[in-house]
Amino acid sequence: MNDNNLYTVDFDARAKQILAQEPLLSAREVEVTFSLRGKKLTAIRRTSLDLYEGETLAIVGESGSGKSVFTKCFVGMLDKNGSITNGSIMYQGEDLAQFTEKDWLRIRGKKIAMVTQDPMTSLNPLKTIGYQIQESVELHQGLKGSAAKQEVLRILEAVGIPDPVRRYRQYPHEFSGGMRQRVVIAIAVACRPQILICDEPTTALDVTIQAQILDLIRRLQKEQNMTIIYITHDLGVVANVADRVAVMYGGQIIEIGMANEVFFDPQHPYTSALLCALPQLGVKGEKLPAIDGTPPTAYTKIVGDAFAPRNKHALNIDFQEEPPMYEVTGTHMVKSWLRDPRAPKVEQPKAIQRLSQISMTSTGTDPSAYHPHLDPNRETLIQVKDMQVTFGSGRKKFVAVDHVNFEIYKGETFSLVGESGSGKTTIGRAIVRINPITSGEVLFKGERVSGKISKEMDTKVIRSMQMIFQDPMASLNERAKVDYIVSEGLINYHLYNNEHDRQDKVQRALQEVGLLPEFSSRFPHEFSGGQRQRIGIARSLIMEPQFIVADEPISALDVSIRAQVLNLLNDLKKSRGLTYLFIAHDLSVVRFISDRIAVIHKGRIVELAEAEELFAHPLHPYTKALLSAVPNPNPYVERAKKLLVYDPDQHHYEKEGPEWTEIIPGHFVYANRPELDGYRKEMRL
Amino acid sequence: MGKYILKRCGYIVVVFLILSFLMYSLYNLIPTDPARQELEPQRKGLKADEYQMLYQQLRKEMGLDDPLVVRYLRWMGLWQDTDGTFNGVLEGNFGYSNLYKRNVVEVIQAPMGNTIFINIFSTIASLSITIPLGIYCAVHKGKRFDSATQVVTMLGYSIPVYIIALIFMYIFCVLWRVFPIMGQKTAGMEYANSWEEFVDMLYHIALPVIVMTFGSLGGMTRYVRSSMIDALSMDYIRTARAKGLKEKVVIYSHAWRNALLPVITSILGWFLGIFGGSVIIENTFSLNGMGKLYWQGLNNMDFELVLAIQMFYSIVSLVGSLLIDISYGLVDPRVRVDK
Amino acid sequence: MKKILAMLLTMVMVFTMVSAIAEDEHVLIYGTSTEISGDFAPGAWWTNNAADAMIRELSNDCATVVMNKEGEYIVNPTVAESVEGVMNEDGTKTYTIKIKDGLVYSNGDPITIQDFVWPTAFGCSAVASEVGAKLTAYLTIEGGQAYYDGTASVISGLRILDDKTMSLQIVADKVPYFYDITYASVSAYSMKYWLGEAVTIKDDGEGVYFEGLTKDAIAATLEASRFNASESRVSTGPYKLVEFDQASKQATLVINENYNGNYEGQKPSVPKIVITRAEDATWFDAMKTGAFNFYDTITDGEQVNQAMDLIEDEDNKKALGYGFNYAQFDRPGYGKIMFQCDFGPTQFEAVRHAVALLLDRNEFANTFCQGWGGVVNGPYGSAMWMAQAAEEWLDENLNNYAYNPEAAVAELVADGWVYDENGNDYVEGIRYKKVTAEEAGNYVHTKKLDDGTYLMGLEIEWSSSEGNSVSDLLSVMLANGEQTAAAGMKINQNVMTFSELLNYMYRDATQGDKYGVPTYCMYNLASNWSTPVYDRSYDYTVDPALLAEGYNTNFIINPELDKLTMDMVYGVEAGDSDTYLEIWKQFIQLWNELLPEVPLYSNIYVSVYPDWLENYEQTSYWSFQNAIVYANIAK
Repeated sequence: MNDNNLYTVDFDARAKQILAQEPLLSAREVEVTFSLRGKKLTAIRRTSLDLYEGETLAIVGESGSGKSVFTKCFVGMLDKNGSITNGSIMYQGEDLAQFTEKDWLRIRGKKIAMVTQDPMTSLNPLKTIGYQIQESVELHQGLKGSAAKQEVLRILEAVGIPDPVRRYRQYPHEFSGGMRQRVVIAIAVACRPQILICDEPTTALDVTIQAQILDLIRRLQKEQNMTIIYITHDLGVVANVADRVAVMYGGQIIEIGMANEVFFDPQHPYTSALLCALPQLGVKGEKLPAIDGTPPTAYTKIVGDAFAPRNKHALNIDFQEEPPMYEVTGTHMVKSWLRDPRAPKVEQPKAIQRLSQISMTSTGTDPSAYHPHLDPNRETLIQVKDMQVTFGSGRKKFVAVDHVNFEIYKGETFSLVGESGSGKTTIGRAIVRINPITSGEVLFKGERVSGKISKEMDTKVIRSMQMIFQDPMASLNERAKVDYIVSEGLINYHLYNNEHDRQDKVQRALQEVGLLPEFSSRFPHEFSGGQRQRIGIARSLIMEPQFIVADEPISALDVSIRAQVLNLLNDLKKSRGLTYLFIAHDLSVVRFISDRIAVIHKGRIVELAEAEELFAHPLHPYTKALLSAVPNPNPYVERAKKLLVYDPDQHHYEKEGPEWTEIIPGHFVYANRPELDGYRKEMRL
Repeated sequence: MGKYILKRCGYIVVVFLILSFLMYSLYNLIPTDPARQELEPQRKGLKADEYQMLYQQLRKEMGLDDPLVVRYLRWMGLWQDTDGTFNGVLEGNFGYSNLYKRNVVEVIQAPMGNTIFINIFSTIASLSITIPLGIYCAVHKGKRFDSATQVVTMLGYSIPVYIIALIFMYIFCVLWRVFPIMGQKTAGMEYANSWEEFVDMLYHIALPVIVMTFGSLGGMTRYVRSSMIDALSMDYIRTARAKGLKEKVVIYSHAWRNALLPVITSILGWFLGIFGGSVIIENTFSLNGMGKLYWQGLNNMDFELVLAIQMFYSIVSLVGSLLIDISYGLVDPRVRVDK
Repeated sequence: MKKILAMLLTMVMVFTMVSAIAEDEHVLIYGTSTEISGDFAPGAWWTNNAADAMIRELSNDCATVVMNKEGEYIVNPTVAESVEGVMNEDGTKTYTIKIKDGLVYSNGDPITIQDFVWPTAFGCSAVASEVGAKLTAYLTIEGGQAYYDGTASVISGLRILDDKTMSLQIVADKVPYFYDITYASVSAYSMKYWLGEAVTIKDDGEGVYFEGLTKDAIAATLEASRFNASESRVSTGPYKLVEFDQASKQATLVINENYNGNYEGQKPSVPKIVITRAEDATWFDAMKTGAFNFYDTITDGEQVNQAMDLIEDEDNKKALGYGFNYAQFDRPGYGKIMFQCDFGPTQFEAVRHAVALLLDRNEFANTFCQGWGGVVNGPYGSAMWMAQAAEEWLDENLNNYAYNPEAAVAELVADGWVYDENGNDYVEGIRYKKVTAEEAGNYVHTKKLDDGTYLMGLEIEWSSSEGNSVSDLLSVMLANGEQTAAAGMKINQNVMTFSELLNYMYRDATQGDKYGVPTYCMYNLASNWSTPVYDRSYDYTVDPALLAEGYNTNFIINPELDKLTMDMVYGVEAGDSDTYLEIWKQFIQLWNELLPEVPLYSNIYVSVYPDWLENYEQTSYWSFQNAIVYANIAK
């Protein structure tokens, strides 16, 4: 699976190769505007891009940066109210910017194809997989009937779908997320396009699946000699796949260069800030270097450098005039006044330096590394004993959480990591009594809080345990003012003396999460994602809880905002003495924020240890697979990493059942005796 | 699949039995005396003692003095009738219409034929207008034609059908005189052949069909439009477009079938309508259909007739919903019942 | 959209072509608001609906005794050679009927004496009830009951004397009867057609009897004949029913060429009558556009005015090719307030009078009938021969209870309604009267004072049926009128279904215990005498048993009234109109005095017919089926 030839890359050689070529597709001064309720909004502000044959270009940007809109211009799939109002996109001697819908039928799919973001919704639920691929095959390869079917079966095989004959007749709902993404890719490659645009192809997938999909695309690229554009916000993915990287901000490409150039020597302050904000590069216990403010949207009026308002070290000219594109090397270009000869010289921040150093050190298990220390005086806050949660009954019974045991100590951040559907959210919800548990019990400060409890106890639990939800866009009542949203808990339990007291509490909560007090009279839609998540945090803080379940609180946020929220959570933990149950799928974030980590697989915790211990000595094969798939922002390391695949059948549990064992103090693993012996050997115990 | 249908049929039987008992009890709660009603016209010509004798005799014959459950079971055909036979719904006897003095089954035949005939026309007409119109509006959302259609359909939707009927009647029948105002055939006309008769019938039901169609345009068009808009905004439509498919293929092959799902549910109402007929339309245009028969039965307290119609309606809707569920499965593989 | 329009237009064109063919001759298209049931049995054996009855009468007219234009019953000289009645010593009466020669059916077959006899004999047979027919001849014919019960093998009172003569003997307790000649009315129906070949009727000298009459033998034939509407139908009337379209509920009748003529020998000349459905909501537009051209007996004042507009509409006449005329006649009945006179305030005559005096009946009738109606002062309709014969006398001798609130108060005061609710002298509000415990009964608005006296409030519980415009108008003009409150009277309207109203009115405890007790003292409904037979016997019975069975719904206990109504029909020899009229006057006068009911309005009815129809004269009793025989198409 891990073909080294595919991964190792000589960026310098690539650069030479690229410089010697004529561009395959050349976009010049492209401007895209949308008309929305009579307003003209400029989404892409005169930006240019050359694409060279056979390369993999990654376009990185946060939401609203215009990366999707820009690439949609290459396939003629702008939304109906949008249009290219300036510039040209030359491809094979034709200007795509001038294309009519009829012209596009020649290019779209056939020459330039697209893989869309969410595999769960991008397949027609009412048509068989075979039909959907065959449609593409018949249209673009000119095959008909059984010949087309043979081709479809071949493609299904090629994208790694086993048993294609059976799968051909199945419907999307019978496929898992990763399989569906393979089908979406199959549809795209069935057209044998010259250019494949992958719009966040792995965002909705789990890390292990993500790695497989990236691998698949890479292989297909080589086989069919495709040129690929990746659109992503995930720098780890970029490091994995890109030859060249373009960074978009405020509707423009602000920096473009070979991957090594951009990662190790970023020139634009935004690029470097973005890299610095990566939790992988953060130092535990220190603040992540966050970027203040929010990214501009199409509504924002931009003068000068779009990033200037958020740049602490912005020059005066940044606010006045748009910088030109400076050439750093033949392949590396940057749109920043810092490259002007008159500008002050800026040294690369420490984090960037650290990034290049990662390349030198290995991340593999290091037996001599850190071992955990236990604080004998720690105080147990939450105790989960043998918890089981099942949904449905009879034949449809589904065990979401299977005999789970753990403790959360006061003042720590305890993380639950696992893939989607592993049951991590269910555990969080069960603890705060949103989901009932089927068996076992939950103790809060030694008192049982699961099952039937007294009314006073219930109120107490609600006050002391709060939850922060995943999607800040969906978890706030759109019709209520912030004031009401934040104080709803207070109102329900009447936890305030008078109206003045209530308002006071709201104001304080808002200030604490870094929002202005006057925001209380606004509605949620007036806020950005990060601000909404702050409102969500304020809502839970106002109840003055001791324990907060944070259910993927940052996974829906932009990279630059993530750091802000992570910092906020860490600050609150210190100032309020909070205890967190942090639920996430992103191991790099978890590593940065957690004291202890539990890895959960299919409803069962397979390994639990202190954060650094887990990363240094992963024992369970699932943990190992998970860690191996974590994207690394260093292209060299990322490309050299060995992907481990977890096969549940590798255990021989039919002979001897596994048990939840504390292998060394504070490090638990779910294994049977032979396995434990192996693990001990690994740890040289 | 077979097992599923069998199970559903079982449910239908149970629901039918419960429903029939409820209905029967309900109609028997109404303070009226069928025997008295039956004899009322003859009362004048009879002496008091003669009347009493006949009345008591009739009550006994009709079994009115027995408890409700016995009468219900008799009606269902599960209990011996007063003449000692089992003669009820289960034996195929759906009752005797007091109003028409015939078996209900015979009374219902002609109106049902009419209703089905008329409603099949109007259903076809309105589906063949609303569906393309809804799709067209969804595809050209926000364009002038769409906006205009929205206004017109909103009007059509909010004006009650009897108002539409009266307006259309005034315009087409009184002002322009292109359609007959009522009935199903030209009075006093002698037909040369049955084709002419058929054409005359079509001529008479044209306006009711137009009114019914017009009345249903609004709701259905809006429904199709919105479900089509939903379907068109789906990600898989983007995938289909990205494949390079023609817009027509995208709309009709990919979006339409998905848009159809919610539409199917609303067709259940139509299904009922085909058999049930419309009380308002049939009365306004003096068409002899189920709706009117039902109305007449109610007004004349012909409860066996009304009960039979009611039971027929419930069976139609029960079977209808089963059919809808099955057809749902045909369209949507996700809800297909395999085992 | 264009396509739809084009489609529509072509459809319209095709159809207008078709409809152009339709108008060829003068077809009378009769719109009926009652639905034809499709049952055309010889009499009201099963159904009793106006449209069916009309078709029945149009297609059957071969009776020995018929009603003439004046509303009197006479021997039909076209059919009967002679009808002779003889009183027997045992109190029974025997009629001997001889029929004319040469009577034929519509298909040309001769009519036999058996055809006259069998319907009456069938009415004495148990088989009739077995097939569901409601026939009661066995109660009238001597020996009928015995035959019905199966204790006799022949009907002794029914004889076939020879092939032109029959006789029938009426039971003793039904004669003498003022209208007893109607017992001698027998009509001819083809026995072969109705009962089939298998059944015969015979008389061996003891009385007639059937041979082969069983349910199984006749059921199928009878059923088929009832619903048969085609050339194969055998009938005797001026018209033949040749078609009935079950789907469109449309009946077609054409002239019976073999019609024997009516009692004056008159035969019809309007060739074809089509009877079609009319809707209240659309009848006007339907007539205007020619969907039908005859609309019988419009009762609603507003509709009458609409009809007048149509008749005057010259433009429409041009468009349609013909105009309209109308015939007007009085309603044989009236709308009324009915009292129950055995409990509550309405047991007192003065209260009933006061109610009448408090209502401006002229205004009421005018408003309700929109000018097409009037008021009567007694239980009669102006179309009755008695009313016409005694017109002057009625004017002079009846109290017309003209609107007079002062007089109402005076009557109430005189009757003792002079207290307030505490038994003190009346000042304002509701009047009270000291009553006996018996008078107080269980009426809701009575109270017992501490001193043991009973007080009854002048509060009348009124039961009115729902969706009724008379009720609405009464509520405005009487119940909520200022004059009523000023007089110290209160009328509480209780709206309910008509069926429930009847339950209360009949005090029918079998429908529920609550109906069995007197509850409402006032009802509003209507009376009609659709035939000229004015027989009020038992309507004012004082027999407690009959009262309990719901006769005398007024619950007025007045032996004089009972005697007069009984005598009027059972104490007068047939034909003795003078005596009858004398008793009638006494009855009307007493009734007017007692006032168990307040007549409210008596409409003028209008029938609209096409102007190409001449000599069409309709009256209350001389209805369409009679009148159309005399009408002809204008040249």
